[in-house]
Amino acid sequence: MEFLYNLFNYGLLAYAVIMLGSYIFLGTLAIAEANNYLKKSKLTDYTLLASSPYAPSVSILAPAYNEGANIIENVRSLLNIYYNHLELIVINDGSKDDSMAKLIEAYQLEPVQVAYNPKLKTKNVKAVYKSTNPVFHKLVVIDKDNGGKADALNTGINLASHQYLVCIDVDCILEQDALLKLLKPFMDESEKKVIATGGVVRIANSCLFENGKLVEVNLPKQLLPRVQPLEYIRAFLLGRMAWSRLNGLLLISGAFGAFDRKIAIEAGGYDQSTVGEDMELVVRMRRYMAERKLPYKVTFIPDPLCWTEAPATYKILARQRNRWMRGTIETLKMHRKLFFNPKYGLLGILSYPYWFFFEFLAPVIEFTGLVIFVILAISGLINWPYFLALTAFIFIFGWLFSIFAILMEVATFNQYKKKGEVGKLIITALIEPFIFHPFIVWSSIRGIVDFLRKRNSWGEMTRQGFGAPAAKTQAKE
Amino acid sequence: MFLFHFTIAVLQAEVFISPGFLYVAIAVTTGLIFLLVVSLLVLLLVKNSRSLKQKELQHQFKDWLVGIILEETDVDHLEFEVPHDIRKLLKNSFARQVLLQELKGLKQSLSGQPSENLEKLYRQLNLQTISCGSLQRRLWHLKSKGIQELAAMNQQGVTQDLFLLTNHKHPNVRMEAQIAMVVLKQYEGLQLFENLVYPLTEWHQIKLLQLLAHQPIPSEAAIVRWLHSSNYSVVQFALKLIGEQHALYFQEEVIACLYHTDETVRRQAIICLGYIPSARASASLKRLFACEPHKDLQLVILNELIRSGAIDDLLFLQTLQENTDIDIKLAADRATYYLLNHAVA
Repeated sequence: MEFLYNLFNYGLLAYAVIMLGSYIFLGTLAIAEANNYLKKSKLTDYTLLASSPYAPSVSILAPAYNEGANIIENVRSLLNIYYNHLELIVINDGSKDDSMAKLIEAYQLEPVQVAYNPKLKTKNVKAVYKSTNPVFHKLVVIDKDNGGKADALNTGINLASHQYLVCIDVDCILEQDALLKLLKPFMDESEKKVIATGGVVRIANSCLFENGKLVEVNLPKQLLPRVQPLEYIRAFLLGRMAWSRLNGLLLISGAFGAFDRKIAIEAGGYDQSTVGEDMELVVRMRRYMAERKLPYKVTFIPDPLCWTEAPATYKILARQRNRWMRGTIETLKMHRKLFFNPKYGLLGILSYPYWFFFEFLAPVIEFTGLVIFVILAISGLINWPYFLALTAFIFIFGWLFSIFAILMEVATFNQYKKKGEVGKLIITALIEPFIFHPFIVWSSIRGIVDFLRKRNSWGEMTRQGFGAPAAKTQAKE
Repeated sequence: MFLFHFTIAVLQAEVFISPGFLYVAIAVTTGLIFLLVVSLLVLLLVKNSRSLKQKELQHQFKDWLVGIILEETDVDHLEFEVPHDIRKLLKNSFARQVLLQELKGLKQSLSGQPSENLEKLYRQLNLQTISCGSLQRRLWHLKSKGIQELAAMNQQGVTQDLFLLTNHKHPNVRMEAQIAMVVLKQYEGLQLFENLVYPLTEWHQIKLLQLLAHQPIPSEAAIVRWLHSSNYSVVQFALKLIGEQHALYFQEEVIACLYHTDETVRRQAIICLGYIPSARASASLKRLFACEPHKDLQLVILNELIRSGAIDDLLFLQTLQENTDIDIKLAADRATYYLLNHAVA
């Protein structure tokens, strides 16, 4: 009995030590990778890609569901992207509002007959539209029955005719040179095939946009959206940069990522049975390459190129994090064959186990620990000096890690330049464990419960829009 | 089992889990936080200060540089006038770096006399010592920076040093050195292809093609050698160059590349024939179609027949209507449509 008690006790301690150690390890790698990237980037003339006839061709896929409030401006913003060999495919996923009518009117669309071979199964396509105005010759709009984001993206993949796919959320704002930077990694490798590249998603709340372009970066004014840039900086600048360096990146954000079209199709396209379709596709593409023993890379670029709105209320945040956890579990379950499987190299030995233990299990262990603590506290079995010392250490370590992330942000892209913004971020990092993190843990636990109950909805995501009145959207149930 | 017992023994050592250890850990972590916050503040101050200083210097250099750019000079021209306040500024190394970056930036968007004036100014102010100094540094990004500056400023005297770097172990350094050789010597700079050990990336090839865009191919022999290179990326580049320049006289060599062992080379050869269309080209593509095992390349062939094909090819395309593969049928349909509407017999 004592042995089991000690095993549990020390097992948890070992888990925590490994977790903290991995954060330090990843943080160190991230510094090296970001440093390398910035030096390379300073020496690069990205405009070369904009004008060269040998630049790769790109299809931007932007699924839209009930985006009537902002769709015209969002599409205009995407059409203004600085790139030559580009087609923009907007997929109207059975919207119930006037998205389609607005698009037809604003962009002078008319239905066209397009012959293509739909390699991926999707819901019915009602019509394909192109503009009669040559100014909008890059725009293609697909009108289809509702099938969810994955289904919409697959429809876009079927129709896309270019070499690379860039999958984005239609309400994201991209920087003008986003594609130039996102596509360069595909052209930089001679020994391995780059199959996907992820980009950083930044928080747009309180930022100023004019005509679909970012004109001023501001730290979000509200507290809840303000914690999220911190979280995103940690996740993107530290986490994903490090994993990219190791070539072990499992996740490219669904809001902004580029994929090799051929490999994406051969891997089977987006899976419609999961709400974490972005992560699942990357894992499946990696498996596809690993199983055929083809050398490949999944890269990540840290430039702030994509801006999106973060949830501003706990209700919407809870839905988002619930969905993220369900997506993580679904992906881990679908690809459980990778778990410590040396056949898949780093993917199986490190990436998958890391996600399993420290992304999936972490909220479970944390929540269980909290429950046990409450029971022990009530039973008078807590060694309070020890408990307080340990809690203080964990709390301070967490704050240290966040400040390190802020330092990385200032040292690299330094988006928050206004007086006091960095200070506000540091203070936000201090209070995050009290006002944000427990809520995220709880949302993740709810996500696990919903997964076990076989709930597979996206939930309602209310968006404010970039300066527009709030518009409610509802995706596939 | 041994590892398990060892771990338990280590973890049971009270020194690692005593409150005292935690207090030390808290103190160390707090100290690190303090250090990081101080570093943050210092970094912010330094960045803001540098940024302001850079803007100020750029503003101060602006009018003077505009004057230099617009100045009409002749062969006997010796030196540009450097105002006293600018001379004083340039005693500072940061100011010289800023000026160097300004000159490099301006040079890239200018040509003719203004561009030559900037080169003269660069030499007059001895800024090449900074660039050459960077070239000698161990750090790859400083080397690359130096290479870019020397190439931008047309420093012909350093081509030997640059040539030695064209097979450098760091990919960025060798790429910049190779590009610099082409900037300085155009096609002559590509003699490095004879001994190129590492492959050229797509990005690198695009950059070289951009530099050679307005330079006609001077030597057929060199191109033929490249087409037979054991470095497949050199073959690929040569094919792109031939296509870019619409150099029809290389058609036979390009057709020979249709049967290269490397798929990427075959693909590029197919695309190249689209840029040097002829009856012979389309006949070769049709022959290749029959024996090409990769469906992707068959689709590329059908795509290129749109450019290189003629009305005579319609019969071939019509036979593909019976193909069981939908992608092949669709591609054949597309090619048929274009040839019917646009082809010249």
